[in-house]
Amino acid sequence: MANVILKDVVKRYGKLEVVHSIDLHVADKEFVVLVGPSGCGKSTTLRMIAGLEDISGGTISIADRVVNDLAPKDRDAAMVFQNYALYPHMNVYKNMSFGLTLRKMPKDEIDRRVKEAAAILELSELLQRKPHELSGGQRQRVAMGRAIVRHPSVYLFDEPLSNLDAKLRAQMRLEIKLLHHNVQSTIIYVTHDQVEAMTLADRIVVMRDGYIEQVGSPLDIFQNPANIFVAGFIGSPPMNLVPAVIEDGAVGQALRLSDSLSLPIPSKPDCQFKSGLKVVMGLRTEDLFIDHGEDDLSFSHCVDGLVKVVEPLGSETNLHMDLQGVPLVARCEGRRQVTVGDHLAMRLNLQHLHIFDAATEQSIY
Amino acid sequence: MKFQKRTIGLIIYFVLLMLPIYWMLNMSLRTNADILSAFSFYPSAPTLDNYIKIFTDESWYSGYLNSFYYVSMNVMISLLTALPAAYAFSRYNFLGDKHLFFWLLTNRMAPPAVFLLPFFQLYSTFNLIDTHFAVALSHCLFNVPLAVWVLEGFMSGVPREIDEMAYIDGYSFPRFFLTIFMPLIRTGIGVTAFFCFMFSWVELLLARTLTTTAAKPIAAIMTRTVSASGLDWGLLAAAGVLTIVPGALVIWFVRNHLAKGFALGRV
Repeated sequence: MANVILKDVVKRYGKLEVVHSIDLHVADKEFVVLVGPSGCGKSTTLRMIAGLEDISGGTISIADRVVNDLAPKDRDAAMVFQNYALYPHMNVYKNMSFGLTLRKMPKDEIDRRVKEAAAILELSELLQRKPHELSGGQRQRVAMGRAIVRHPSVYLFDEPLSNLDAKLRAQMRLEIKLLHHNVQSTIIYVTHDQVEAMTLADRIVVMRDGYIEQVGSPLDIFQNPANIFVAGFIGSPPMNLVPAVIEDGAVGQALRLSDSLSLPIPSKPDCQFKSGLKVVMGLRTEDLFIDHGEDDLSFSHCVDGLVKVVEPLGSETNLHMDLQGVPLVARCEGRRQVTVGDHLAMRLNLQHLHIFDAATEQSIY
Repeated sequence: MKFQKRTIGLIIYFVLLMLPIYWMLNMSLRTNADILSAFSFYPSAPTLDNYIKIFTDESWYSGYLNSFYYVSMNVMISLLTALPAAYAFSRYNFLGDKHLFFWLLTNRMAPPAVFLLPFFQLYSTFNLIDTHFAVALSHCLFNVPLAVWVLEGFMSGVPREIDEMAYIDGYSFPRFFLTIFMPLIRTGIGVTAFFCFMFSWVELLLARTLTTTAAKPIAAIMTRTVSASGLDWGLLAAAGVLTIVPGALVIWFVRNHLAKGFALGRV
């Protein structure tokens, strides 16, 4: 059982507190991704788990053993760094085997493990090479191999793909996912890239300014963001977030977005807002699309819009629209021809409407 | 024909640069009588007598040995103290680290003569006068700050994650430093050793004042050639040539890394 439990973990640099009393429970064999903008404390948290930073308060335990005062080498955690941190003067084989040699493991066992890891990562041909003779992706694989050979109970990844180009990053993402499947170990992974977080994680931990904003499965976080920050951070392009005011209408309540645009709020049981409450409306770009005549949605609304900017992505196109004075991003199919200045009838799928309190920034709907 | 102009200019520069050295070589291969009697661009009757005298007369060759002793001692002391210091400056933050780092360099701004008197008194109190150790130690005043600066530059070029990876791998600090870190900055260590060697080798004032006979450096011995019967030109020239050789050899070994060293490793 290699679970990782963080209890009230605090990190201070002098008087400056950068991680505030974090609680996190990572189950055995779980793939957890810490995601957030730079400076949110995610790397610091990971480094505290690895033992590279002192823990200012609280406890961290790995496999039900408190590791606060253990040296990094005794925590049975392997780390993969963004810049690989390979020893440049040693070849791939030595780079991978050195940690084991230090642990006084028998030679044939080391050899077996290195060969096994090299086979998993397709490095068998490169074992005699020096790091500078390898490409970026190969170096990253060696860095992962160095972690694998140790058979650690926890893998810690610190932005491992940030130094790679976009294509290689997608490929390595897949390999990390396969690796998790193969080694069946607990993985804690830090990234600022929400795509990596969404695709890799069993569970995502969204962090900001040293606080955990939300923990949940990728789809849960995507569909039910707990606050404005999470809503804007997860998803690409980001969710439309527009200030609005609640008003009581003839049939139920409505969101007043501009003088000429007001959207009805689908009524939910036990959900009644104070009239005049300042809120922020959230709507995913895929829930705002060109009206195609037939309405098979249970609750939608149709509005005329003006196309301001067109961003074709191939399979789909992002349309930056002016909807009755409200700027919103819509999504349409890539084959559909849209030009700037077009007036289009837009349909909003209000089934997936989000409403956040403007003052507390928390989700209230 | 810009290229040719430049070539000619370079040739003139090179000739002017090498002329004194050639002249010394020329003189070292002639007898005193020959040197004083005729002006010649090359030795008409070359002789190795001057060199043979230096290599056979103990009072001469001991000068080279003395210089070698204290220079190598100085290189060792400088490296042994500068390596940990540079590591601390490059890896840790501590109170006043930046000021201390700059202060180190200001040590090089004072002329050696300033330290002459205090050094002489202190060293004689501790009975260190006329020992190799005294000279080696006094040269540290200039070489340790320089060594710290050069090494710090090279060390900061090594990503910190290498250190962290090593701790996770399970290295003890000394083992990490010797087997991982030092090989990574070996160029820096070589260049630093070269700088220390060079400064210590050419420094005359301190070396001469702190020694009398037992540790007298070669440069001081060369002044002995002045006698009532005049200067021993040939011998002096030969000694000069032999003084240049070690420096030239060391430069040859670090020639590819010198530029980086002059930039204090910050390239």
